[in-house]
Amino acid sequence: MKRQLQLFASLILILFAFSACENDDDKPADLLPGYEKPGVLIVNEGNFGSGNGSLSWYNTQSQEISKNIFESGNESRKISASIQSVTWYKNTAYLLCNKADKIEVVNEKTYQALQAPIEDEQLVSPRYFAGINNKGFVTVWGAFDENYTLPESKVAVIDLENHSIKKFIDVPSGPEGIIALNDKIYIANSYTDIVTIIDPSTEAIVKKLKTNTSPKHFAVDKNGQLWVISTGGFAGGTPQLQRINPETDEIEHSIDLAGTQATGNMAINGSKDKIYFLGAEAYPSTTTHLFAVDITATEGPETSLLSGENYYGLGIAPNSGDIYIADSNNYQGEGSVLIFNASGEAKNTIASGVLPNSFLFKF
Amino acid sequence: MSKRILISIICLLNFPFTGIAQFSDSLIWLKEVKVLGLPDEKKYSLGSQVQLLDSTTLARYASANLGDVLSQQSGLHLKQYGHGMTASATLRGTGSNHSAILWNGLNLNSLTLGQPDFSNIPVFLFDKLKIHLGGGSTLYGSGAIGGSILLNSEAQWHDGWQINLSQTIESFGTTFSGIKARYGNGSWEGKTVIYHKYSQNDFPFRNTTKYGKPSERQDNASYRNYGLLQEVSYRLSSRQSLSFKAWYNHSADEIQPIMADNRKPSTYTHLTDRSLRILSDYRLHNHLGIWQAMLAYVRDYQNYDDKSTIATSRGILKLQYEKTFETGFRMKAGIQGKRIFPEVEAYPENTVQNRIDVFLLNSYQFFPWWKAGFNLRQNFVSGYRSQFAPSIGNEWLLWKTSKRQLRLKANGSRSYRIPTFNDLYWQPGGNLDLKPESGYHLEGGLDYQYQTSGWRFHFGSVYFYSWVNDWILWIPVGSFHSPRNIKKVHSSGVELNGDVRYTLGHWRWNATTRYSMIQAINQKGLSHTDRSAKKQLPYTPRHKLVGSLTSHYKQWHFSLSGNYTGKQYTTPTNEGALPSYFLMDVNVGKSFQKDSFKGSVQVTVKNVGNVSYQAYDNYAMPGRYYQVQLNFHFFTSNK
Repeated sequence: MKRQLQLFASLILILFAFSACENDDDKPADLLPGYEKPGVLIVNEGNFGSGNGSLSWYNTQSQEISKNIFESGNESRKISASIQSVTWYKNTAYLLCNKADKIEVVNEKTYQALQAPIEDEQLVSPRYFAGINNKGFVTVWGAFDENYTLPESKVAVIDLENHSIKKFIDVPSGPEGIIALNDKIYIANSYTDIVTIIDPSTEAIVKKLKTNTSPKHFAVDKNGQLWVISTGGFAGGTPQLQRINPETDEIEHSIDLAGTQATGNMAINGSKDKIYFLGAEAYPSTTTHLFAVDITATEGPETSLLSGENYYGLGIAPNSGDIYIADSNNYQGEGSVLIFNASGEAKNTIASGVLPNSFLFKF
Repeated sequence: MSKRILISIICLLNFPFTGIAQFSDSLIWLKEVKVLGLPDEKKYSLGSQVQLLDSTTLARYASANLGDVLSQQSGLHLKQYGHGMTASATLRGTGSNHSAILWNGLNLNSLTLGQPDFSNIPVFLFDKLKIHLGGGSTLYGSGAIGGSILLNSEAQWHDGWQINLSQTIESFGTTFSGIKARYGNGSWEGKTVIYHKYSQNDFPFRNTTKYGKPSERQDNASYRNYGLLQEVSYRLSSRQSLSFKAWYNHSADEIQPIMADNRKPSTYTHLTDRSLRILSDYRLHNHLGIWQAMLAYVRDYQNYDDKSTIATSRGILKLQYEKTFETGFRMKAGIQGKRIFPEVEAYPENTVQNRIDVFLLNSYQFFPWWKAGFNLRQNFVSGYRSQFAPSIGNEWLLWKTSKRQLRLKANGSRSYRIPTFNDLYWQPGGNLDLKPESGYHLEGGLDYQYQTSGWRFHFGSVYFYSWVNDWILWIPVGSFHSPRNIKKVHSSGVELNGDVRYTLGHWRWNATTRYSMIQAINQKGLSHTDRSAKKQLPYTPRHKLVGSLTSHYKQWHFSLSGNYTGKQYTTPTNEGALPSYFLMDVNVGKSFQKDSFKGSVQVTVKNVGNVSYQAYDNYAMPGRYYQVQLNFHFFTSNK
């Protein structure tokens, strides 16, 4: 019996020793790679709530892709969020994350965090960032209510000296795209038909400009004019591109995008005279399109430049005019980036992270 | 029924302590059950694998939920969103809605989502449970593609009282209390179970997703689960019996946030589930055969974060007839009708679905060494294309001596899953043109048993092959998502299980192990850019091993249980993965007995190695923790 007890005790010890082995993969943060030009930052949103957003860097010269560059720059700390957008401002990259709600503030070259992320009880679903005069303005959806509307929509004002939230400004529902132009901040309130204009020095709303239903994003053309794309909303309205004069803050021109089913994703080319946008055919079709329209156009495009499935985001390389399309892969795991030249001929397809949604170019 | 047999039954079915039941008792018990009638999965589903977890095993898990015990004892892989949270399982490389949980033949899967929640079913309710692996639609209907969990309870017609009390205290503010009483006079019997579990679940962990990787306590992961089960059985005559069962289960769970959202109360959500399951059953045994009628009602209610409510009600009527011929042939025929009323705002008004199943099960003992079965089921759904599910099985006794026995088993089946209500009716996106998912399953295995004085050895091996076609996925369509029959998965694998028992004097040793190797391969990409073709399904580890070593000495018992989970991918493209992990529990207990009173105390150390791991990407799991469990049993017998 004694022998059996000994056998039992040694078995416990062996198994204990085996199960107690634990690895710690942390590596020192010296010698971090820098993501220098020429290249493209790919923002991979990740599946909502799964915390599997990531950033990839595509070196356009060597055609090499580096994945999970946030984790590489931060001692394997996972970003553990959906990344809605990334904005570069003064050598710093602002990573706007939801689920978990936070703004990671990182070095624009190494993606190493400069500090703990910006978090606040009211910072629920931050969307997009615009920087001006050392202040950051962030559109914030707030929580959905029981009818799935967004009654707590806000713009957060961040002091970029110490990266603390100064205040929240109430804005109309669903603030999405945001842009700094002419010493003003423009906000597309996508659940309404309003573009809100804020004076960054007083941090107060100076104007609510009525637009087409569901304005989403902005672009500035070569003449310094501001373009806003709107989807027309779910009730069957017509999508539009509208040109706002930033001197008068009035709409001077509207282009109907009938038949395009524009999703609100847009980008402008390097010479800032052509606007690209995505459209998704209505149910039950799964086809998506890329359209292009000149800033001088009076009518929307009749045909699409490219079409395929799963177009989810887009970017136009400012030097070459190459078209980058983010392919969602049906939201089933990691997606792809499709690269075409300016005339729409396929150049390359590269592997991205989960649900790529946008591109930032460094040339 | 002799007193000895009766006591054996009491010990095995109702006395939840390791170390009381002897092997000789279990043999007698098996004979008794045969008298009462073998369950369907034994009689008709020949050649497939059915694992039984008996009361002795379940007793150690009195405070656990179904998911915990299955993942530890049968090695099936749980997909669980945090500790104690909503859990589904992947059986034989299928999806989380390809397994069915059946309570006395009643399917408990959510009609809206399709999958069962393994975390909301307390093990304490059941005296035994069975896992039937592989395609089981012929026997159990929709959803039984990868396997089925069978929770059955039968009247024991015991004359007297039996009362079990169980109390567990665990780390992180977890308590479980349960009372189980069975009473009767031989012609009628009642069983009442009341249970309550609460866990604060604020375990410490290192938050590897936060700046500086701080140590934190888990927030918003508490859960409460309580309920009541009442059964009444009445023997009208020696040929007729009537039974009634009602089970109310309530669970209120906070939803554990991903690690990065820990300590952010503004993001916290919670979920409430309430289910009422009522079942009545009438059986008549006459010269023509056995007739059975079952009438059931199930209502499920779920509320997410005090916002959206999802509820379904269903009524079920099942009639079946069974006949055993002296030639060794037996057959069972039946029809089941189901009417389902969902209450979901996103469905069109007055959505109702009717389902009818007809089935015919046959088995034949050709020779003492050869049994074969052939089964058919046809399913009809209102306004919707239906499905045919046949199965065929064989068992051969290849070799038999007084000490050794070798069996060869083979089974082939077709199974199906009707699209969920969300798949069909959710607005926008619901797709009425969906086909049912269908699965083909082939398996073959060898079972070897060896027994001498002191030793008992059992070894089983299974090889399986399965295909799931028309697997439903929600994909982006226009401005929303819609389900389509687009995925195709081909799985194959090997399961090995071994069980050795050795008795010497006061010592009894028992070592068990179950290993599975599963290749679950997605067959095609969804588009030309999709890289998921020929890749392993996410959250389906290729290797999984569970094992335990138990030793009894007089009234003491010690056990070690290990669980190895291999590397698992987190996405269909296999570009992200969670590392493998090995967890071990140590359990020590002592039981005592005086007349008709028995008791036991056991202490368990969970995750003894304090391994930090994630079972699901970004969800924290606890390190080492402790559990103390007390059981009391009291019985009287009038015979």
